[in-house]
Amino acid sequence: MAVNTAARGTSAGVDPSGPNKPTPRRYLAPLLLPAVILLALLSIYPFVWLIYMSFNAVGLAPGAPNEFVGFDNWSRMFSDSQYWESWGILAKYSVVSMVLEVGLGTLLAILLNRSKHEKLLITILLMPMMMAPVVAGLLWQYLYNGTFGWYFWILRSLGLLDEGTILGSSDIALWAIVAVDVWEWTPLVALIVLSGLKLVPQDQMEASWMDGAGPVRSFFQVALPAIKGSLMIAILLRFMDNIRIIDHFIALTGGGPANSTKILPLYLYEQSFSFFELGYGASIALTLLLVTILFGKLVVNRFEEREENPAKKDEELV
Amino acid sequence: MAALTFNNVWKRYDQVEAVKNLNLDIRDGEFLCLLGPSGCGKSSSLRMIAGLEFISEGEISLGGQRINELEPRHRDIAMVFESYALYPQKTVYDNMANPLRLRKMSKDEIDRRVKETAAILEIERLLGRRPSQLSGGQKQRVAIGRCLVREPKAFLFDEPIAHLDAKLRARMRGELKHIQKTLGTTTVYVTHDQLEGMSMADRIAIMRDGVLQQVATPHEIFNRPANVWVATFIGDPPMNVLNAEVQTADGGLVARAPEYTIAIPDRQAAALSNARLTDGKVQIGIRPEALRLSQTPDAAHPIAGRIYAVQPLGDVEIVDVRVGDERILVKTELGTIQNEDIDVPVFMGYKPEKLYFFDAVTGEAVYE
Amino acid sequence: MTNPRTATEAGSTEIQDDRAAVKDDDLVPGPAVDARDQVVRGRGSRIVGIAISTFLTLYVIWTLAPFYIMITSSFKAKGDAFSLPAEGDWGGAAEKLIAFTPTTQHYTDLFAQGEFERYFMNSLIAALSSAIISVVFGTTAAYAISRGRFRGKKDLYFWIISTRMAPVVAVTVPLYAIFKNFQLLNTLPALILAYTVFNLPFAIWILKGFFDAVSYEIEEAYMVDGHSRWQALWKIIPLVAPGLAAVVVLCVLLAWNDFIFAAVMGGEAAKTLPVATQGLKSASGIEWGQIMAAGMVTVAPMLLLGIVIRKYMVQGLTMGAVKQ
Repeated sequence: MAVNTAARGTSAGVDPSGPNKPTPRRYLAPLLLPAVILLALLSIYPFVWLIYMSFNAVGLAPGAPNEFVGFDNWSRMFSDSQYWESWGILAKYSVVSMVLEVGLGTLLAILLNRSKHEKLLITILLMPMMMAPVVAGLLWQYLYNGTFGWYFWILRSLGLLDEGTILGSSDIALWAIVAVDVWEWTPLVALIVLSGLKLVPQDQMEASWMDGAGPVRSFFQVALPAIKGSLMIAILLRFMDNIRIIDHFIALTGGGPANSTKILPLYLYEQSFSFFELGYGASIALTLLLVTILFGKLVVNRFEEREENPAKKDEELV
Repeated sequence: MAALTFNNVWKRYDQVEAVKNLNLDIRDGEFLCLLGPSGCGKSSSLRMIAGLEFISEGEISLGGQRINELEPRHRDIAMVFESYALYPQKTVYDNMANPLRLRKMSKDEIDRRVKETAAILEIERLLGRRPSQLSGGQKQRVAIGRCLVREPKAFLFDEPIAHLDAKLRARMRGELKHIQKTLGTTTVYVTHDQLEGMSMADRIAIMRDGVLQQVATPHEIFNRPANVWVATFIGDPPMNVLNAEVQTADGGLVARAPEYTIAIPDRQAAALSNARLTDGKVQIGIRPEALRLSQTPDAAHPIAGRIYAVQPLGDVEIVDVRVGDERILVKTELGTIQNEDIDVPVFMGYKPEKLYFFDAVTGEAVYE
Repeated sequence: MTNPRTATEAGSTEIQDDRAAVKDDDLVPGPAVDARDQVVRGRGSRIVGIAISTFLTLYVIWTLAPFYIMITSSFKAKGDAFSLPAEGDWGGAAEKLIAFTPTTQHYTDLFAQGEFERYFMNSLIAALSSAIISVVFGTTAAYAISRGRFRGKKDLYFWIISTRMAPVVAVTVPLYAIFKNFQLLNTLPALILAYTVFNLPFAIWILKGFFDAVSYEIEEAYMVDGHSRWQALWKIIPLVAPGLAAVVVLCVLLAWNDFIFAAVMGGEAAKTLPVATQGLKSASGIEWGQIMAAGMVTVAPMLLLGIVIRKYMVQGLTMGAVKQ
């Protein structure tokens, strides 16, 4: 035992990352640091700037000084009725498009899973997602157009639209944008759910058939619990993208008519880059970021639940 | 070829001690099997030899030279991995040639060696294929081939046949042993399967929770296990272990349990009294094949029990007998038992010289 | 006499074995065994089948109709070709949609104005540069995260992912101010850096998955064979090559399709295709034919890329939530 304790004492002096260790830190650092530093410059540095900006009136000309204004931007934001209204529109828009996309996407996924033309259908479904969102917006603006638009014409011919144009009426403009979102992104939900369906244990499905369950019952009994994780990921990703990307809105309505489609990120865009109220924009941006980070945490947790095989060898690499 | 020595070797991860003070001499040309359940430290020990794992403390030497600080590539050791770890983008030929090319061997020499080895392993016709086009058994041969071409100082095997089906495993056991004996290269073979250890190794080193339990020939491990854990780990079906108390009776010693009393043979009685068991508690070990059965009570069959289940295995059958709260397995010739119904009374007899005694507290075996 | 049924079964088993073997080479886990058409179905399934086919057909039409209208409109001459039939005149509508004399006038107009090639090149340079930066730095970082274990790994990972998920406009606000200070506004480097904010975390995320799928034992085998630690790392790069290709394409896609960054920070000097397309609108009187042509120029390259790497596209668009 005396020998052991002595030897143990010396081991502290031995370089713990000796050459025969698989991936010691001295190999990790040079691999990891360049990316981490670059990303820190591109995300943490701007984030700090954002906080700084939110307490300043930001000068516009190159080199123009910023003026410290304390909590002015923040108090303005909290008393700004359009700010709160824009949150409301964002919520309304997100919930409705999410419900439609998840419902339709799940149905599509189930049908795709049983279809003989799965590959072809997936290729077709991928197409809208390849389209630059702003181009999708322009294309649909054309389809909705009151003079040339085919979808406008169809709605009129079917007697579904009595007067006005689609994007010109504040009652329907938001739903028209929802339709574009559904068109472009429902396939994404379908593909995520489809990947979940592929993981549904076939033997459990068979067991539920043997128990006497029909297809609907066995779906709710076996498949739905199994795809719950995928559905959750789809929902969270869609919510986050609704905050992230506003290209449809910029192309289709720019927030009108009468601010009826001015979702919060669009309001932020307008404040920052139409009115160049960058300090005020920074405050709004920070609140948006906060919400995103909360959602992000949820998404990452979901991903980690899905990741069942984080190389077991990890343990031995210390 | 070279001898391999573990000298007070420890392996620690953050909180876990995977290998605790391992001392082990592996002789030049020996086939040593590191045997134990998963998590016993056998794989860590092997990977420390390969240089894939840092040695926390102690020393490993190969051919008399300390190798702790050598990178894997400088150790001149070949290894077969559990997943085979074939290079998916390379053909079988290139997989096998890879280690040779690194040693700056001439093209002709590489070609000669790869083809020779392929012939030994009967994989010549696979040389142009890629790993994805091979079956599990074929991949396994290629992995072995990649080892053999090198003529290294030692072979390391990490559960190499664990993922093959039972038939193929039985065949590969014979082949691996044959190849090892032909080449005479020092070999360390890690497995959790006692059958592989017993059938192939010159000596077996049994590990449990990072601690080496016993190093000995398969014969000795089976017949003179160092403790009750080794005794029950080796052998299929496993050894029966009964709890009893040592008492004095008729001038000799007996082991007494509520259901039966076993007379302790004189030659072991001395050792048992010297061993000074804690509270006189003892564990009696009897291998299933050392028991005999009868359906009529007599002096030769003193332990009474009732049939729990009978498992016929072709020429023999395993009879599961309930004695009090304990269950005892008996391996007997087919037909010994006439009435195989559940709960039928049976009587067991034993040869006293086939009994093992273990200290019930420490688990150490007590021999004469 | 041979039993044809047994023969077929033997044949199909062999095919299955092949699939399993090929899968090993595939770095991404394959789909579960296809079980459709194995089950005995009841009588009602015919009607259900028709309903399903109808729904899928309608959905495909809903998905493809805008593309059809976009493509045809981009080849329609100005004026009358764009007028709509009288409301309710479905026959006239069908005729209008199918029968017209195609012209490439809009495309020639687009490029005749001289600047569109430059916008195209801007898009290409910004997207490719950002993709390459992201994939180079992303590969090393993804390897380290996949293989290493160190304190704070989870937090690092979360930071990387949440960067990818940040709202584009919220990122644009501080970047605009910073780039203004560094005199980078209206330059391609500004766009390249901005795209890297999203592409680098994305590359790390996706490539980590690819490295996770490569058994660490392969690297160990290389080391035992006689390679150094660095060489062993280098040797497994070919095994993640499909991942690298997929990540490059997906990064290009994200940057190519961006509007906000380019609109705010690109100016005229670094104008990209989506901004130019949207810009056509604000000219006096909207020329839809030309906008559709510009849209086609923007969309077509990505559609082609998307179909080429279809398999990884799905994975990339879902941030790895889908493993195919």
